[in-house]
Amino acid sequence: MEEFSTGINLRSAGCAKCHNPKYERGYKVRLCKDCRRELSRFPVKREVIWGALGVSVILLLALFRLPAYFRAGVDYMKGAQLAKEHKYVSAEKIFTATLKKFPGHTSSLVHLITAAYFNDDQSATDSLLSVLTATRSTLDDEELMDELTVVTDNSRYFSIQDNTIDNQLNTLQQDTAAYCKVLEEYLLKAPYDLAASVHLAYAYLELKNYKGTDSLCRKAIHDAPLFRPAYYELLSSLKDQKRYKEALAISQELLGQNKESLSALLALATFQLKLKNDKEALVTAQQAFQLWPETPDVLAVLSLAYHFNHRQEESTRMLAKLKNMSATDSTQLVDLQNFITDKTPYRD
Amino acid sequence: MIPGIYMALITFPGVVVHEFAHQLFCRLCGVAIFDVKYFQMADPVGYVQHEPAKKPIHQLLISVGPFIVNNILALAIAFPAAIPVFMFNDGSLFDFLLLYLGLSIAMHAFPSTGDAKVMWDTIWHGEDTPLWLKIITVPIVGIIYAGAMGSVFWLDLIYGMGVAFALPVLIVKFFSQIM
Repeated sequence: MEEFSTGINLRSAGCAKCHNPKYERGYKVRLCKDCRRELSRFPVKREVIWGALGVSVILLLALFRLPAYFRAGVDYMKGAQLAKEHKYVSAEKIFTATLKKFPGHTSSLVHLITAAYFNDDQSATDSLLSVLTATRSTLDDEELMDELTVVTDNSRYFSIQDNTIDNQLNTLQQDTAAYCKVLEEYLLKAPYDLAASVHLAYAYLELKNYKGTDSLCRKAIHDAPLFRPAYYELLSSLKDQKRYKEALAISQELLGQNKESLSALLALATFQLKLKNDKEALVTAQQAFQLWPETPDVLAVLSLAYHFNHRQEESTRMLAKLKNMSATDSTQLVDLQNFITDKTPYRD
Repeated sequence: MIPGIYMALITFPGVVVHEFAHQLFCRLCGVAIFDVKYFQMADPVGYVQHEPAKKPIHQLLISVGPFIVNNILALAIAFPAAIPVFMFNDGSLFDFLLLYLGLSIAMHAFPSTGDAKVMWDTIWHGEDTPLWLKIITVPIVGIIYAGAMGSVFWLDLIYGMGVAFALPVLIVKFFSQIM
């Protein structure tokens, strides 16, 4: 048996500390109740108390910051998940907020660039790409690198590669025939230039050369399936040609790339209405309204969708909301009123 | 390779918390303490000498006390720092201090083989120990010995990094899916 510096004598016949004969039974070490209680409250050393106080202050400071960081972390993960689900409008909001808190976070910046691209905001895409270049950060994450490559690969199709042709086209804006000739000749030499293809497709559309528009757009889509302007030109052409079923399929392809694309949702709802798929059109329009409740085009389509679903009260409410908006195009408003009052037929 | 004693010196806050946890559970269980060494440059680097617990469950609690206290404290300290550092590459000096503390404390969460031996002697060989307690003691002791063997190839460091660095990120991921 041992003896301790605290005055414990384990050989004592009574309590090992105070030698009181009335020790507690049932324990291997004989101690009276008071001594056991006192010893179980063994004093903590002063240095440890100071250390514990220091750690407590640090812990308090850390816990004070925790909610904000936790929220930011959860939001970022949600944003990444939304981006994986191709819901780029919601993802863009989250990544913008994340970058406000952590401006140097490269992953958020790359995700934001992708979101801006699929939200058809090319000026934001370009400016964010220049921010990324300015940070001179190297991307070690292969997945992130691949994500960025998709955007950079497709962004180069937005400008005509030959500057002289681009300058020449600027002087020919009023002369569509000459404009087309320059582009046709250029495309013979540079068939890979998809920006030129889309420019020419647009010019053909103005000339009602739908065959030319369709063939150029389909080739561009084939060469670069994520180059979205080609889809929009094709949609305009198909709408003019009243080929709504094909247009519906193209809208769905665009929505596959970005489930929250404003233009794609509006196009889909429009073609659904044209094809008399009124219930589906209402669902699509409501989805667009949830994302852009203040956008005139969305209100107009939703008003029409309510009208064709025989929900006149809601249709009128949307129309009234649209009227109160200063940004509303008056022609659009008149057209909408005419459609709703059946003065002008909306469907063919 | 850094000898264990120097590793313990580098991560001494964890040793202090480990011994403090034993002491705390002795107090909660009303077990008399004869001596406490929070840290020393010797083997063992810290200890709490206490009387044998009357109830076997108290011995289990005293032995695994550091596992509970060190893990909770390490996670609470490291969590707010792990998010900016590992998710947003945006750590300040304060964040790195928190991560160091969290890692140090988590590294010493595992009870020592000495704790395991006392637990085995008291619980497994104890006359009044209920069978269920004996059954749960076996894997606990096994894990402690496995951890002790693993510490030869830095398992304690890996475990500490898991708790202080990886677990906060996993928790955030989990909440992002349910919130």
